[in-house]
Amino acid sequence: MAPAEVLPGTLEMLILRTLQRGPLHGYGIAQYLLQVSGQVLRVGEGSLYPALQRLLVNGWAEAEWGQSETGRRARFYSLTAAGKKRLQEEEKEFDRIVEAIRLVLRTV
Amino acid sequence: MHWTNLWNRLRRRPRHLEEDLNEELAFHLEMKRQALLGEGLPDAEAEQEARRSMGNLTLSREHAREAWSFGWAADLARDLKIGVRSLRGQVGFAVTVTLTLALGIGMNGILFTVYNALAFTPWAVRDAARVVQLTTQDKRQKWRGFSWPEFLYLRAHSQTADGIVALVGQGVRLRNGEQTWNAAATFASDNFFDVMGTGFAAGRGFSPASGDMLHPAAELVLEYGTWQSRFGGSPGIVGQWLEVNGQALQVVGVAAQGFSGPSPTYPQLWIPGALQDKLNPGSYTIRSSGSCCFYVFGHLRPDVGQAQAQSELEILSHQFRQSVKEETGRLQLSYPSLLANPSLDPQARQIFVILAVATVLLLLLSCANAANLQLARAQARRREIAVRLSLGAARGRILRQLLAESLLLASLAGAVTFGIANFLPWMIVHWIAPSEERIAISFQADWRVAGFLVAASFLTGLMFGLAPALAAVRDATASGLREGGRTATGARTRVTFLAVQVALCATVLGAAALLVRAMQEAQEIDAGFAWESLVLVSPQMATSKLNSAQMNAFLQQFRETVERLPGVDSVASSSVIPFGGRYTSTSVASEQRRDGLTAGFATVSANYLRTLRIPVLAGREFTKEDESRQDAVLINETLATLLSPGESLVGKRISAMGQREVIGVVRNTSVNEISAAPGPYFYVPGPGDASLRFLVRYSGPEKPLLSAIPAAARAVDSRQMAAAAPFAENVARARRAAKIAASMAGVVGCLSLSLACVGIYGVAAYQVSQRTREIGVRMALGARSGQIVSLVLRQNLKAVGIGAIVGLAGALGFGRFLRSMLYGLSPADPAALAATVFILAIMATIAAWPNVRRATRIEPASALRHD
Repeated sequence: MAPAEVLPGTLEMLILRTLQRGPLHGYGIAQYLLQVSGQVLRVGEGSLYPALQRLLVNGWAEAEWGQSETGRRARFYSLTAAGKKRLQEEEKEFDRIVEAIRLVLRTV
Repeated sequence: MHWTNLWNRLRRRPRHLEEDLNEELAFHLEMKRQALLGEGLPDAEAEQEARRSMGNLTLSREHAREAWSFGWAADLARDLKIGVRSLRGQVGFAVTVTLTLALGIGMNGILFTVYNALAFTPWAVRDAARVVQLTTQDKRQKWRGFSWPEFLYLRAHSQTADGIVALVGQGVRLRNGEQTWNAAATFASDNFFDVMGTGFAAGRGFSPASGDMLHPAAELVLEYGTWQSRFGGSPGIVGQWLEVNGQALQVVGVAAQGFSGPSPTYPQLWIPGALQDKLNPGSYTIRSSGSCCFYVFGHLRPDVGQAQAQSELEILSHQFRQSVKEETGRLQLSYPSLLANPSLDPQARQIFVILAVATVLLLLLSCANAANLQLARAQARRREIAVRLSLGAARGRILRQLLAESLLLASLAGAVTFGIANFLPWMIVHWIAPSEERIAISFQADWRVAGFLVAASFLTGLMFGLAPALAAVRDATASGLREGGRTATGARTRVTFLAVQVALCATVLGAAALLVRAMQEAQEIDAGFAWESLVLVSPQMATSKLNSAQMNAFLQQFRETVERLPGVDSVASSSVIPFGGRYTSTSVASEQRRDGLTAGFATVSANYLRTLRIPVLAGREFTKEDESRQDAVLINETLATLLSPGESLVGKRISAMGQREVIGVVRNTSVNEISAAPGPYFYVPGPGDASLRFLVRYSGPEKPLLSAIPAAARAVDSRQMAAAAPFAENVARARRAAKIAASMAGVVGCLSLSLACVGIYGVAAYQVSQRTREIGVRMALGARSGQIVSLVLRQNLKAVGIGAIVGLAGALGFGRFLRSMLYGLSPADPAALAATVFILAIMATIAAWPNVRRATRIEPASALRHD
């Protein structure tokens, strides 16, 4: 299957979800999303880093410099309490919308 | 953008945002490269592929950084920086636009500064925040002053105010040794300085004994400026005695510098209100609850709200008025300011509104002008804008940048205005105010003025910037990068602006022409009597030392002495002097008009009509014998017509202050203001009371009389004084308002005209420069210069024509609004309208002419080489 763009508005939710597993750097987040989605969700750097900055601005994530698995200096992002709450809200909202879309598709 | 977001951005912004991002992206790139190498790609290829798949690194970084930016705020700062840079390259343009706008914003700013000082600035009295003015309105919604007894009642019973004062301004005759002069005095209650005073430069305020109604202490307090100018600022003045209206009063103190009480002008002295009867006998007694006209102020207790105080004082006022069987009315509290004062002449309020309308029109005019200049500049920059658009700049972003420039220029103009707002209003008000009055209002440009100017500048910037910016972006989109692409939209916008400018200018100019014409008219209106070669004599009697028989004897003797002076033709006295500001009226009825009507009246002596040269139309005028009659009356034409249309009333009896026989009908005369149609009026004979004044008709030189008459008063009785002044001064004072209005209108009219001329010149210059090539081609093909002239002028003439028609309609509307100041002149006065059109046409031609000439002198050969 060819790679697809992430649905607009869901990238932040996907990043938050990824970070729930533990701190990760930008490259790791992109790789993880690609793998878990069966090579479908390819997140470009042009949207990944602005999204990460938005998470920082809103206080949903924190960033810290640390050492990567290859021994290089990398910036690790981790979830904050506010981020966890936000993730729950976004998941709930997402489910609601998907449910609604399904309903429409089934009815018509 | 949300404020919480803004806060987050400020709080969480990393200290090394830029470095962090760079390193992070570098790490990402490196990881990608490593992954590709792992897949078996050669070194160079892996590097290339990693870079390719990363896309535009700069853009990614830019976007990531934007998450932290302050959005519009940061953009605005950048736009302003660009604006400053681009304006620095065009100083001439920037200065022209700034000056144009400064004119418009400046006029509004000055008017607002004056308004601010009058309406919002509290008086310089002690604890001004808790001082309120009490005002009452009767059933007819008319302002009514307080009587002294009502004030005393409120003062004695109010629980909400811990100090209530009453005061009233009045002119008095002051004597210090050999020096005598007329002075503005304020009669105030004994607690005045305790409640409102800001301290004393010397001595103290009124003693409680000065409030004693039967035997008030004879005291006075001097105003600081008067103390300096008249008494050399000597502290020795305290304890000395001065004569006020012939009564000796002791100076007990000098008020602190700058203290005027709740009054817009400085009085020269304060006198206890209880002395009123003693100093002005005969006119009325302040002990009567039917007396009037004191201003009352209260100092509210700190724990009391305004509403609470108002209801309590209103109840007290009603209690008092019912007990003396007087009409009750609504009582209101207001923080004392000149405009809140309900007794203010309604004409002053109207002048304010008229000036406000005129200055707003002027501002619009300068906006239209600046817009045209801005438009010309935007046209020149069309290429630049087109390039930026094609490179992907958002239209909104370019629009915002053009607007930022306009705002910058408007702010400059606002700043210039703030500078002049600090001194110009003060100068103007001092020019307008009668010279004998010292203004006590401070016209400082405070935070309200600053706020007004910021708002005005912002709106102005939007107003004159938006249309040109929109036009520029639209043009650039339409014509793209085409070489020398010319579209008609810009030209059309400019011509529209030109029409708007001309319309605004015609409105202002038309209104100004009307006011100037009205003043001319007022000069020509016949007052109904001859006021040249007339001297007004005001006896200043030391009444306390005379009983009424002695007083009458003095007046009689004085009059006879004046009659014998060389050059004097006739002398008469009257209780009401034309243009003297006083007006008395009563009800009149006749056989035919039993219901009665209200007419003005004066008590006059024999020879009054002869002295003023008022023609007698039927019957005869009063003689010396009539002066003691109680049953004679003279009526004016208007009253005669109203009482008995079509029939002579001479010899008939009418009811006017008792039954009286009409012994003559006289011509209408203006009473207090010059009017083409004076109202009903009648004259009754009599010697008059202490307030009477004499009118002296003379032939020959006036100057000797002005000193001989006061000398005559002293010759008759050394204790008495009399002031003599040319009567023309009275008339001039009455015409002041019209004169000021007309000269202000003239100034505003000239400003608007010059702005419109600059606009016309600019448009014509632009058109000629835009059409140089076309004109060159036409000339090469043999067009005559007449055709070129019409080519250049046609479009403009149409705009000027349409603008002028709309503007004249506006002037007509404005004129209706001005009606009360036009002295009977019609708002559609043909002379005024014709003058407006004529002036406009001449000035438009002059403004366009240099460019028309330039067009006819274009060299076809060089024009064709012209871009």
